[in-house]
Amino acid sequence: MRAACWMGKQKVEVHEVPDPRILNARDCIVRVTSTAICGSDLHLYNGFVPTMQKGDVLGHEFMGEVVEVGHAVRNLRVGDRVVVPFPIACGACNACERQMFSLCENSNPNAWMAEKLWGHSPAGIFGYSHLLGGYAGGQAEYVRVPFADVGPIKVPDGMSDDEALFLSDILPTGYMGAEMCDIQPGDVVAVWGCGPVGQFAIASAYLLGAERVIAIDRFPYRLRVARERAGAETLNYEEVNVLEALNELTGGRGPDACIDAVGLEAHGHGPIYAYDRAKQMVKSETGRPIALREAIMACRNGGTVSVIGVYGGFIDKFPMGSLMNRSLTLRTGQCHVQRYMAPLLERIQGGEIDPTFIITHRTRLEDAPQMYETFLGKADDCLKVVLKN
Amino acid sequence: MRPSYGEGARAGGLAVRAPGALVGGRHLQPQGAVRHEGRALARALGWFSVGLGLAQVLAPRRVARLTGLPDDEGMQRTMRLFGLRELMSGVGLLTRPRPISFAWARVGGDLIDAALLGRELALTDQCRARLATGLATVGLAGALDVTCAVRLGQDEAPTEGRGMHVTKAITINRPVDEVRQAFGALHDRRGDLDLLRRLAGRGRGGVSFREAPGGRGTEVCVSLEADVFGGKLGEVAAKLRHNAPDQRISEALRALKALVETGVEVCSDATLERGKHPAQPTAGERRGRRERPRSGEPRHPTTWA
Repeated sequence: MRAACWMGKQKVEVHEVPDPRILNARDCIVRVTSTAICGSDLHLYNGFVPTMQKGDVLGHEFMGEVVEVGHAVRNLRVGDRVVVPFPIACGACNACERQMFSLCENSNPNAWMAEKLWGHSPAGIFGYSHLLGGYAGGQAEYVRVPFADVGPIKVPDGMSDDEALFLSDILPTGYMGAEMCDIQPGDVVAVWGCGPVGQFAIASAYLLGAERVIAIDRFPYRLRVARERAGAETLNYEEVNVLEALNELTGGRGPDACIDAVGLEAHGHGPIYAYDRAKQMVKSETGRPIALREAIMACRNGGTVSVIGVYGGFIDKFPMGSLMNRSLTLRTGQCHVQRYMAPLLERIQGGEIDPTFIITHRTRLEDAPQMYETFLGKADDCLKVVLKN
Repeated sequence: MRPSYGEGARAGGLAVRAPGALVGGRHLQPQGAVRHEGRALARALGWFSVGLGLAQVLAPRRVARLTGLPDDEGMQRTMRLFGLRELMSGVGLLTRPRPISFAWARVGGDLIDAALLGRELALTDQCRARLATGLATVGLAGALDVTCAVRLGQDEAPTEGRGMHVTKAITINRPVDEVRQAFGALHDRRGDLDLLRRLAGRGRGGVSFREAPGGRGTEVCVSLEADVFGGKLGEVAAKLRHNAPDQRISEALRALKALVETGVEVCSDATLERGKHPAQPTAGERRGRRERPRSGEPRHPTTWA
């Protein structure tokens, strides 16, 4: 089969690789019909996630048709259309029983690597480094899906791939980011990053009852989508002092909740940005937490900071004093996608949210290398790339 | 061997209990690591070393004069070097949890100091009283250093054997009886659990099963003393290959957990093959690992074995 493979820093190539096979009774094989490039794939692309190997098949947002099932999978049949959540979860461990699927205790066969870096291991993830399992990803023609009786959800007839695809990651991730804010009536929520996850966080914050959502980015086309499609008020951090602007917009209180939908490759300006870039370059910190710092400083006393942007290892100049002395709550996590798929699918069916508004590029899997470049360079107003087979 | 942390040694939610029902908390430490006599002495000697070292580095001439040594250029250089040596052993004694080698390094230093002072005493007629006092001080320090090193060696020393001590624990979300039974029936891929069972039979290893709090299943705790070919060096080499006893026991416990909880042996495209392999499907049959489980249902692990 054909698959988009990571071949080194900023190098993705489509190669012929062996077809996946059923290895366990609880596996299924999915023929991928649609797959997307995630913002977090760019962290792999840029070489910021350790334990990648030349030849790794990328992709953790995908859906398709079931073509083979293991004999212990009772809920799926050949021919079913399914969306597959990006964290692999067994459904039986303590974490899964508590619905914290991205912390599944059984799905990462390389747990020892993650334990070295993080103390304990989270779940395995498709196409996202060896540290998180070494699973072949979904930017391919076929994928083996472990624990197929737990993760994949059937797509109802009449729902298009474009409508369903983002249930695999970014829609639930954005939603969980907003849900962690514990939004109360009248709350003002600020969202750093107007990429796809940020857009869904904005939309979800409104769905969950936010009074106002303020979105922060630097690309006019992304801010425009946030305004026109997600309904946010927008700030361009290259034009205004974000902290001052947020204070002014909230009567000096600061937003009730702040969502970091940026993660480890944040941009900024001034000496602090130069400092972070230099430290990241010499690998004395793994992330540039510019948005996170700002989100913490901006948040109102007693408010919540929700982190859904991806971080890999260690960051510097973390404003712990602000967090502690002002009674802030920090909530975070890789999305427990399985928890949100069914309710969000219902919301899509009910017309409460149309996730297709973020798609700017639809093309073939063969174009993946070019699309990574376009997405990274924010060229051609690129917001979301969907690859079709 | 060093047994694991005591059973039931968990601090129980004291704050919510009635005062009359208070159960005392306890300090958690591996049994067999109870004596710390050498540590206090090591700290005292550490500070002494740092003080002396600083004096030798910053004021070599005065220290030389004080001990009756000549204060020429060469001796000042020697003093500074000795000072650096003292600083190194001092910092080691103060910062390492069990600084045996630093204590012995101090003993070595004492011998060098004694040799220097002794030679001076034999060669010169000047300042003999000072030199003799210096020599006596070095002798006293030497005696303390030897005591410290010996006591540190006795502290926390493994009570038997010289193998690698492994203590690993995992929580399995199934009742104790089921886990115990699965453990007995499991023949894991590399035979690590079989090895553990054999070691347990010889009194060099043990496994305990206890109920996890909050209905979270069973805590399995393994503790054993394993011999590693090549001693410490062999241990390091094995760790680099992810093949040391502690790593293998961890993996075996994880495999046990996965089998009991999910009924399958968890593998990814990259871990299917021995050695380095990218995360892409493999061609051909699985090498080096058991074929996919033959029959049975998830959550009934014994049928998979």
